[in-house]
Amino acid sequence: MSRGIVQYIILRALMIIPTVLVLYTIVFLFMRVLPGNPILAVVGTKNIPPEQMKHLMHIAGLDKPLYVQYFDYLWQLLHGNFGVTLAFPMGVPVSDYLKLRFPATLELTIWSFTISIIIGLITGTIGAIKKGTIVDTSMRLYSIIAYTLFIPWFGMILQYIFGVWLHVLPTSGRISPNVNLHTITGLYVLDSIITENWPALVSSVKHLILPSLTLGIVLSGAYTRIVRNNMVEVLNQDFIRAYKARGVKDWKITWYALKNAFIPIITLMGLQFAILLGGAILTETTFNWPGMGTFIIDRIEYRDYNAIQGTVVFFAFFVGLISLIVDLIYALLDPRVKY
Amino acid sequence: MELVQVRNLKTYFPVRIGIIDALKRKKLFVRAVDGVSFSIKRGEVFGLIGESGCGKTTLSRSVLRLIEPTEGEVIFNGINILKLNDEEMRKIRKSMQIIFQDPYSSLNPKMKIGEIIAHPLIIHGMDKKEAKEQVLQMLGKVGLTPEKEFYERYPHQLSGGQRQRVAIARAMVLNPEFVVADEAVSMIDVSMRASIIELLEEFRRMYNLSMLFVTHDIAIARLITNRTAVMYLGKIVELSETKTLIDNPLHPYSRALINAAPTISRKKDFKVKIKGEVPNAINPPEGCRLSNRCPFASEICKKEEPELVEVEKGHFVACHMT
Repeated sequence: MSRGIVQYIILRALMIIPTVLVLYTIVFLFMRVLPGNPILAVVGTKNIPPEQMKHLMHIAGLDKPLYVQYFDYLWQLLHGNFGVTLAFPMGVPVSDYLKLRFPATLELTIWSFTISIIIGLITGTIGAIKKGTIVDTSMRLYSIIAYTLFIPWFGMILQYIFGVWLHVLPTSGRISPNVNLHTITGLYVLDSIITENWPALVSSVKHLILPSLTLGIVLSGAYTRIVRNNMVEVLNQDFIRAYKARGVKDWKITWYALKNAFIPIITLMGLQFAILLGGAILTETTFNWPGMGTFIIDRIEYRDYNAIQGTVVFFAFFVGLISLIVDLIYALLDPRVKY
Repeated sequence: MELVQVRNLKTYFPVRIGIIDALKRKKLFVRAVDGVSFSIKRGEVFGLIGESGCGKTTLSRSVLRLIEPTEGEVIFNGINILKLNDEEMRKIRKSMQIIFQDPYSSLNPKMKIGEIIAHPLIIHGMDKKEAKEQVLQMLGKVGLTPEKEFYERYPHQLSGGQRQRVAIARAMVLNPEFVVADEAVSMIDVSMRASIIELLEEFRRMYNLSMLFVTHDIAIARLITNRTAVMYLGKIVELSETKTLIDNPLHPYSRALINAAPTISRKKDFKVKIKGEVPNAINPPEGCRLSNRCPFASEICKKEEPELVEVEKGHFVACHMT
């Protein structure tokens, strides 16, 4: 690695900090503006003696001035501490929840991401090769339809077809309650392979199919479009014609073209990742998937300030990290990019 | 001895039409190349000139079957290549190569120069070590020295002229018998053109190469080609030795074209001005295709299409008025 690239990595990593800071500030203020607070959400009524209310607020640290609360939590964050939950159950470190929930979300996103890329590459390439024909038109139509699908609606349709009607796939959860799985990484598919627990593997894959297909198809629309457009552009270049003139087989030419069309596709992957996490929240709620999405929705109902702030900050860090990695891959694949 | 013979070659492109026309089963075509015949001898450089949109590029690509022609024959070394299947075609492509106009889009940006030139050899079954040896030699021949340094570079690190040298090396490394140069120097800096032409001429001399040299620049045609054909709207209107054609063009269109080329001392003024735009190739004018723009056009020109006839030895013209 050259000195330039190390410098670039450090610079980019530092740039994550202001992003996270801004997001934390926004979430902090929004939560305080929302009516209610964690104590009221737990007690469930406004008719509690003011003395007791004051006492509970003091325990939770919510009686301090706002700016003190803001900097207190920020100070905790700087020490890698996401704070403790403020609502039922109270006093549990938020990081415990994140450790438990994050692998579930990660597993769902990895699968959805892979599915969307595969579908996007195939449909986009076919569209580009058959440019101007009915096949191309249908691929473009697919792209638009997939892109505009509403995740909960589409998820429910799939649940209805495969779960209720055909009875072949489970519609909620990560794994069947009848199977025991010793977790190591928290990624169930990986864990069941490591521990050679085949019933758990079958069950976790089955549970993954519908949610990841839902999210994967919705996200694939954007890829179909960008793959097609880039492939059309590359296929029209003279070096592709030169391959043909040299007697290179058609599928190989397509492969060379795809490699060249890949750079903008990688940019899209980085951008899509944030959307992917957003989509994961909707997918998780639809399929009752015990990930960060269902966690944050649950915590919003309890007005659990710390848990929400912690989760959002964690998301922001994660997205920042991914886009940094994407940029580095970019440099690796394109000989023209220099840092 | 003729290496390439093109007989009555036609390349039509379907035009995208609206739903109503499609329902009426009406089909429209751009007649980019419309019945062209010529032949190229071994070791000869055959020029093809004409303004943009006249079908030069389509013709040159149809001859190599990079675009599938609609009708006609392309006979290469006694074989009609339009009749070959994919596998046979792939094999014969080894001896017919192309150099493109734009050196910025003709090289894969993700491959090193060495890999680009070695690729044709590897595709046709040479092992990598031997290929590298040949590529280094080739880099020397096209003047990209130090060879080892250029081998490791990427296209974006080269100038336009250097890139075109790479494109030439890539075409020549297979030892082809026939090379199409499609406007191979028109995007190169004027200062570099002569040296690129010289390089092509050197290869021609060394390997007794035949070339189809497509250009719109008459000065360049004069410099490198032996015989030249003038194209207008998908047809050849005049064909002869390049020197004869430039000194004594007979077809009104050729005259206008040559007239339009700037020279330092104009010996001749053919006093022909062709007005207006090239008509579209979907509905070309009836009769002679130039009839609506030609100052000499008479009744017969609007009715009957003129044939390409030999007016003096080796000089063919398609015009009723000569």
